[in-house]
Amino acid sequence: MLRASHRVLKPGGTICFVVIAVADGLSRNMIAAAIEAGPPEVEAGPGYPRLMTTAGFAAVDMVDVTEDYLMTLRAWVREWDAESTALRRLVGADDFAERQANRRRAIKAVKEGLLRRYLITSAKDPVVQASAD
Amino acid sequence: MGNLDETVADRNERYRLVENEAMRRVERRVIGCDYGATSYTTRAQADQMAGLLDLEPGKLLLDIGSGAGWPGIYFAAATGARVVLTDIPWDGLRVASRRLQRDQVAGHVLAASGETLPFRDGSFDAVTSSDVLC
Repeated sequence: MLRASHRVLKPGGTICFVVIAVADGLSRNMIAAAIEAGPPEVEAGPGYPRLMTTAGFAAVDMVDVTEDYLMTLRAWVREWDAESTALRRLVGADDFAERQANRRRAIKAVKEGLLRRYLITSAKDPVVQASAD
Repeated sequence: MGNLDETVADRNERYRLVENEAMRRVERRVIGCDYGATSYTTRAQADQMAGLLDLEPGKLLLDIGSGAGWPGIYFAAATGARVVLTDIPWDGLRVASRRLQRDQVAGHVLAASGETLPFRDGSFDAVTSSDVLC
């Protein structure tokens, strides 16, 4: 996705995205636990600064927004519980329980330092040159 | 491919429910919007991102993995930029398309993978995504 994003950006264009990622420096078992606890999009990788550089982006600004992620996860759990009667009727009791369990598992993983969320910003070089795409 | 198919089917199923009023109430309290959001991007964070994307009227934004349109449509509505929303689950894009029309925001939706974007080189002033696979 990053390579494709770099290709379709105009020279000087900006990319800004948020991503949930496996924390750095984990053991193999902890990485597996992080992937299991995170949303389906989470996977282990070489880290976003390197991924961005490989895709052709130079200066990369990466801000850790994990605390906000944790607050939002907790808010989803709290507000789903607050609307539990209507939501159980809507999605079914099993799906309701599964979604809440998934969120609680993600909260635990964040608190254990397995999952992080980052706000990443960069720009395509304003000078058109041979592309890494 | 099996996992991707399952994820898309699951997302389609979930997007069919996001316009329900109880879901909207929850979303407004958690995220601060009612677009049918499935990510963890709050309105405050979206406002921060809109500034970083340097959007303004005349600029073209690509939102990859847009789902039901949060926050891509919000960015366009707030800045006057045009937006192209891409994703694989079609049911999310249907919700997004209705929202574009309802809010009279300039933009359109397109079913496409973020890995093989069907656009010419150098088409967009800005690209964004929220919690999608990179």
